[in-house]
Amino acid sequence: MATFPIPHREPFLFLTRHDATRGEEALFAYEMPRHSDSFSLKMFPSLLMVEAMAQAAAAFHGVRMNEDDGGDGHVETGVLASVDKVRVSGRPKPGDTLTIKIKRRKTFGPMVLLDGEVWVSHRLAATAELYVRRGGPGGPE
Amino acid sequence: MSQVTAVEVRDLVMETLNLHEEYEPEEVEVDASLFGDDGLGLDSLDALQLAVAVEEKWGVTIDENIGETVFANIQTIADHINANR
Repeated sequence: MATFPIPHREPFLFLTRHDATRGEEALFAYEMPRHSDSFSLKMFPSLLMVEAMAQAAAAFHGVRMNEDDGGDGHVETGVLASVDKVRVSGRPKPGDTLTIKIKRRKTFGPMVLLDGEVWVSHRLAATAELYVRRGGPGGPE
Repeated sequence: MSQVTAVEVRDLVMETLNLHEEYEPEEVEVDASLFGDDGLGLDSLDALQLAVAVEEKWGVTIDENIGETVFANIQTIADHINANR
């Protein structure tokens, strides 16, 4: 099981792997469990796609900030501060794999703006703007 | 190229941050502090949203290193835009 620089853990972790990072962009994936006793939803709630984008944004932020700081092993955490312009156009089903694309658009002081997309079977299922605060509560002002 | 007025910036600030629910436009003075308890009380999230909005509307980037100076008030934002267009 891959680990990510965020505090989320099963069953509230909606990232399975980090597929790639290229500059200001990163790709993550979430392999949704198939229908079972432990996962009885027939559809993946739309809100959880937003949560998956938020987790990917915070994880990407942590990885990138570590690289920006020279990769000294200290991984800065990020905390979701706001979500805006959410659009949902698809409903994944159990067994689907979500491809989560994150792009860091702007950093300003302690805040970072990232664009998020969720793709399912080559179809865009959700988009959002995600605002991550560096360091979380009590972080840099 | 015409100058961007403080009123135009004020309109963008109010629209971007949904301040219409709290203030009438004329209540927002162009030389009043945007941040802090004695001003509009904006925070770091507002600053990022404003920086993005200014960049999208007028194509002027606000470097985070001078953000505190540029975002002192609405007039200083307009001055920065006009000096960098």
